[in-house]
Amino acid sequence: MIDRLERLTNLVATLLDTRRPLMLEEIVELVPGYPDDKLAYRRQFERDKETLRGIGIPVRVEPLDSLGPEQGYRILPDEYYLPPLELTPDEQAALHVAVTAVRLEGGPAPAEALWKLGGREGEAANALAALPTVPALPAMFDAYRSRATVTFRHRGELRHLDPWGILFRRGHWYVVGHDHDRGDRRSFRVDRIEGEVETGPAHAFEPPARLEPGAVLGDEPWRYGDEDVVAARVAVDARQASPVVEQVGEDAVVERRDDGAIVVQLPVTNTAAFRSFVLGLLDAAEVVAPPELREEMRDWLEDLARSAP
Amino acid sequence: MSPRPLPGPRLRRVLALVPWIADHPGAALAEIAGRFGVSEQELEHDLELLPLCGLPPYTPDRLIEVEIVDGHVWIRFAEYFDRPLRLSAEEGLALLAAGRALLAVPGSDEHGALATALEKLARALGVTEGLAVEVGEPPYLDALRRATDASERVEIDYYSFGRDATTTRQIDTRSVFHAFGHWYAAAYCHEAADERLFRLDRIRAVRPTGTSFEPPAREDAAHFGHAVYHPRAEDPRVTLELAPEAAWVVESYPSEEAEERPDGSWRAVLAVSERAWLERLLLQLGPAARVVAPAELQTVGTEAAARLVTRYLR
Repeated sequence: MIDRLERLTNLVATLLDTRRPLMLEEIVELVPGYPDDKLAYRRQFERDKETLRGIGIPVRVEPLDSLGPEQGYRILPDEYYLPPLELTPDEQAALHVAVTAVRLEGGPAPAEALWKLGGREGEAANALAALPTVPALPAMFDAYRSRATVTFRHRGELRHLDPWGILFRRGHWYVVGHDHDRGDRRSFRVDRIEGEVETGPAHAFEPPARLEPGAVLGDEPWRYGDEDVVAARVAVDARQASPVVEQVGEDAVVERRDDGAIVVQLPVTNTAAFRSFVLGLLDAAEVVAPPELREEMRDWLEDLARSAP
Repeated sequence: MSPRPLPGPRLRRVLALVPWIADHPGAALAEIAGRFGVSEQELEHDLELLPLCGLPPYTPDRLIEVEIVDGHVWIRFAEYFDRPLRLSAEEGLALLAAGRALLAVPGSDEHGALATALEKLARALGVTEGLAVEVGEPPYLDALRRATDASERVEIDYYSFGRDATTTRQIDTRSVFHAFGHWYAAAYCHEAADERLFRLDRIRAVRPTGTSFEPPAREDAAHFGHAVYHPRAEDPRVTLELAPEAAWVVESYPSEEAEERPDGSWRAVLAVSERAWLERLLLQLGPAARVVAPAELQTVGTEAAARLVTRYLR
């Protein structure tokens, strides 16, 4: 009985070495370890193919010739091999430090992430940071690096996006890009994507040169929205003034009062997120303009104050 | 039939091992095992398999040759495995994200070996500047990291978000780390006489005390998640009724009981360490949340709203 790993290793070598697509019948003839029965070897090969694809081996299915419906299989060397990276030992050691200091939770273990780069060089580092991962992130990263348009469901709506970049900010992963449905730049929180990400063909678009995802995303939650932009002014008491300035930036400050209070002006495209920001400051903040936003806040608080427990 | 280990992970390792060993003839088994994070037995087990592998018709000249002499290994006739498989999306992401995050930490060498390694990696993956990791730069990050490394006790002014108040305390910082989008200092607080976590963006001032402390063993990344928030037994519990649009509360805070109804609404029990924390949550959720129990917390939201609304009635 031939070990499954042995058969898989031979299968990879054979599909990688062939110059033309191989028919299933040829494969089971060439690679030892498949059963004789047609139904059984077909099923076995399907399982093997899925295992190979599962670890990222690009097994292609191609027509044998332009005439018939028959299909063959192979692995194109250009799609299989890692391009030579020419990493120096110092660089390998630096990557070892990076993957041990910063862990992508749910991602490969540090040693495994380095396998293809020659394994662990030098010393591991003390843990410094943990980044979360979310189910849709690897697929989104793959679409971004292959420049493929993605289709996904976000807050109940189907969106079509050219992913220009991926950004981690304030504990969340975002994808930024060109939204086909809105005809404009948009950003989405990757953890809010519902279900699978469907990836179209590679090289479907060209992202803008020297793109900074952070600039596309804008800086604050109240800007992550589709609403028309409103210039909102918020008065902040002295005791919360400095952390607020740190968060929104010095440029947003439009007034400094003698008691240390400040007024900041914020471009709001997401009123709900804006309201949460102001309420998070509790008694230390107040919406001062425009009148509509101030009224909205007053109504929100009055409704809540009147609500029966 | 007895369950067998999945062949995928082991195949991944074999396909990475072979090119490296072929490229480093005579490498020691111990070194290879260390590099790839496997035991020497596992490694030998992997290597035993290879002489049976090769290309049709599997005559000796078509099989991979493995030679092990005195704990050193040579692999020959495996040209088709002379380079590793390209990086998967998961591997590429893990490497780039970790590297970019570390480079973003203040004090990293922007032109050092990590930066050049990431450039090479990004080129091989076909990505450019479009993957960015921001970890933020709170004002006292550097001061606290230095105090940690030197085991120096410091005095801080700390804004307690839960209590909406600023206090001064002396702390012995054991580690500084980034998790859930924030920097934290895990420290022994002399005021509380207990271990505490401090969010760096809420530290308003750091002053040296001229005293040092005995450095303890280091924290591990795996514990970050648990360390950041663990309800204390004595914290009051609140039972909330949450509309479907407020389901994020269940994901964002450790709930001790959470039950989803067929209509998508939730009933969840959360620990409330400070009243101001619950005020914020209820103010932000508005009609999407209702306190079911206990009776003394049922009016927290309405009272806070009544207090805040006075600013809008002038």
